[in-house]
Amino acid sequence: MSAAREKVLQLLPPLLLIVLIGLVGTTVSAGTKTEFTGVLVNIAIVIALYVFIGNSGVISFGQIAFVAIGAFAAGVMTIPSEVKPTLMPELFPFIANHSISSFESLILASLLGAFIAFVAGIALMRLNGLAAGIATFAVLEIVHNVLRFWEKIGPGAKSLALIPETTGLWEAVLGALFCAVIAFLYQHSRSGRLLRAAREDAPAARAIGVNIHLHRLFAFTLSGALAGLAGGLLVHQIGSITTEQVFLQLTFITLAMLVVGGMGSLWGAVVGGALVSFLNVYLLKLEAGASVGPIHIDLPNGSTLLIIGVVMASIVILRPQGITGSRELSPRRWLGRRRRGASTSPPPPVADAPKAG
Amino acid sequence: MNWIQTLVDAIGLGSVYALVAIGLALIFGVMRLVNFAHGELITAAGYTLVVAHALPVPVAIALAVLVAVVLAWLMERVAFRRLRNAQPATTLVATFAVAFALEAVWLIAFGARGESADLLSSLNEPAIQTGGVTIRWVTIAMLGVGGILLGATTLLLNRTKIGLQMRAAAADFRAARLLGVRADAVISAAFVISGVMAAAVAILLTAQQPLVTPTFGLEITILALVGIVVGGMDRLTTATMGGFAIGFLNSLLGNLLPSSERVYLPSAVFLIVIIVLLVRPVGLFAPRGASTAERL
Amino acid sequence: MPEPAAAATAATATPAPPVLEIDRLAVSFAGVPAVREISFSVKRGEMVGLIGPNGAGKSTTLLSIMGAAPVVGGEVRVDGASLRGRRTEDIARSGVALVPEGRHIFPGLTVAENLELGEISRRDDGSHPDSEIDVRELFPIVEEFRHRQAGALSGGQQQQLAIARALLSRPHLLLLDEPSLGLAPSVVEVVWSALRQIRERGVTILLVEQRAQITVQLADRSYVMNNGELRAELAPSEAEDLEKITTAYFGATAEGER
Repeated sequence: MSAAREKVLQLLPPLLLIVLIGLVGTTVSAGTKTEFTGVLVNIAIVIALYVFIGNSGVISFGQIAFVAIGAFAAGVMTIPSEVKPTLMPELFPFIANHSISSFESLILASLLGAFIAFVAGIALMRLNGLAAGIATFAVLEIVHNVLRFWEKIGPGAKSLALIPETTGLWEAVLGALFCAVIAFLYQHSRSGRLLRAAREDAPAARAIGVNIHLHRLFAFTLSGALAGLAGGLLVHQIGSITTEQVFLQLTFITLAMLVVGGMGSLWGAVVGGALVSFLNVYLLKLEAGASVGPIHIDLPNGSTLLIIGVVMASIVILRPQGITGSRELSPRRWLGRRRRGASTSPPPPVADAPKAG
Repeated sequence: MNWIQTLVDAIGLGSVYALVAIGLALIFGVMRLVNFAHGELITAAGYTLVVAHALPVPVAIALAVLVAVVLAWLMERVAFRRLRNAQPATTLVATFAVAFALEAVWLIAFGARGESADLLSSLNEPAIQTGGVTIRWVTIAMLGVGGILLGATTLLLNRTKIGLQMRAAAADFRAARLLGVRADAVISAAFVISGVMAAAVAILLTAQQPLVTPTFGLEITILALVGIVVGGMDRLTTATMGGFAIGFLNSLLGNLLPSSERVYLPSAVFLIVIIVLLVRPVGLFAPRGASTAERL
Repeated sequence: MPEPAAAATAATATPAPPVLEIDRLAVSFAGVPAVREISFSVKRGEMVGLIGPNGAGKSTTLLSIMGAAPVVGGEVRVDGASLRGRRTEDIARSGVALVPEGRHIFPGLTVAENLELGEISRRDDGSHPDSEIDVRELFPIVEEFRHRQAGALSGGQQQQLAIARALLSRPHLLLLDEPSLGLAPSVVEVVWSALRQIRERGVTILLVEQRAQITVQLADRSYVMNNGELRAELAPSEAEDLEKITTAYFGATAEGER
């Protein structure tokens, strides 16, 4: 029982951090509130990445494809059908004639994300980890290419606008909380535990009959569902979207968030998502030109990318387990044992433990 | 569209991708590092050609090679050397980060719109023109440079001391070091060669189409990396063949697709990739009986 | 004297230091100790055996001499000079050669190429002419199969190749890790006889083996290692004393410790 309670306690810090960002977000100006909402949506995307990458140890560059699918599906389906023909004259009739509510669109986004992830995963998850990671680019490229040019399903290369802006601060909080809870449940499910065991020691896991590829496929699909959902949240937050917004750059930024936080834990995903998102927001402001006290700063375009790239590379080199050490934060260890002064040594980090013999 | 022409063009582009693949596969072979930042070497050489376009062509080319080689060496020295004992997933993320950081540098220095490296565009003139077949000089240059560099790499690996040490290190790095193979020397050599390959790719690509953008090298690197996975990333030969195959396919489909559907070229290429991976997950050119199970 | 300068000065006053000195060496893998503060030394021209059960720390001891194991305490000295912090390849190039467990030949390269790699660490300064050995004479097989892929050789042939490769660096200290492991009895005999010859040429040898009796017989001294510690020292005369060997091997905790 106590072990189970310990685990549930580990879910608290990520949830509390998400709620805290929401609470602080209510106290700031309207413009800053939008930024806080954006941070929470980013956290949802990073959690989606974490469900696959964190549990399997396989780096995927393809999850943003499912964010894109979710974003465009939710966007296209919630624009009022009266304006669709003017915005997107080529649309298939059944898409043009139907519109759904924002909430329904989030469900649709998750289902589509899961479905495409499952289909792609059947092929990709049979590869070994490194090859699978690289091959996920194929999914990203195909999804990007099709969304960009197929005007029967979306706006093509044009910007998709007039999307209901229904993701407010609390909707984003709820979305991120939902993703965190699902990620937590998966991480402690049988499949999640087997996948994590296989990440540490693949030969041993295979030896006891764990079908790694099958569990990877499941995690990939679940990650696709959450990524689709996060894409839906994203599109309803910003109200308009282009295919370039959900492509390589977002892949890079969200991967940076996961790596900086620590890709082996949910806590790492949430912390990294929050920190790098805020960094990103404020650096972009400086790029646009802003005054910090008496000094006016106007960073050249690209500075944000450069700084985040350098931060990410430094973290990977100096602290490969991220700033959280890829561990869950356990409130019990934090509060309870402190006064005894017993240093409960955490388990050694997963990477690079040399094998004896 | 003449099929001979289509084929020759495809072989030309295949050679360029094979050069990208060699640069990537050598480093992967020696230190199990998937170098996303390889594309930035290509971009760096490309921008060198932009800056040096007024200089005599041989000087500009020499500068491009020099810049790519120095940058390759620096990357290893500053960043990747510290990751020698890290897991492949960790190094993959690190090279991805370095790639984006460098892309940002190009963006800051040269802007997003691209600059023209217009010094070899005379190579776009037709060299041979018979019976509907037009073979341009640039295609011949791709074939020639590709063939020469492929041959030179093979000779280097098979006929020189450092080449033998590189092959030994690729097979079993620890055993090689126990014999006195210097890790630093072997790895530096691999990065220097990959720099030369990157510069050659930049020169050939700008001769065909002189616009250099911040993502000039990244896109071709992603495609070549996927090609390496398709070919079989564990061996230099299969990886190079995979690179060639994806360049070949890209050019071939580009010519075969009806012009209205040509925008879907990336989808077509990557869809074929996924199908091939579904059928042969160990690699298209990997020997029979090879398995993916060895390394997950 | 062709010795390194520091060692040469020392040698004028005191007798030459042992070729290999292991001084309170401790090795841990992720906090788990594998070698616990062992000390012993090997003098010039000696052959010392290190025997013990699986997981005793024997291979780890050899790897830490080569700078390829996480040493957490103590140090290794070769010819009086500490190897602390030196890289594996530099140690190999200073005249220490290891024939690793499992041979680690390069199966994709030819026999000749494998041998060529052995020559990388050869120092042509004539400092150790005593270790000049014609490996082609010692192992005719490596000459015969020069152009074959090393992976196509049998296990015994691969072992001979591995030893030949190590000898080509002209080591003055040769470390061998279970050279008889997994070999047919007739091949084991070839390997042992080669070791005798190598030793006769004056190469200093540290031999790790699981075959206790023959090692004790062959070596000038043998140490029994268990659980990361040296439990007993045996002389060749004790090779027939099976009881002593087995006690040292298995039941050592009771009497082996002070």
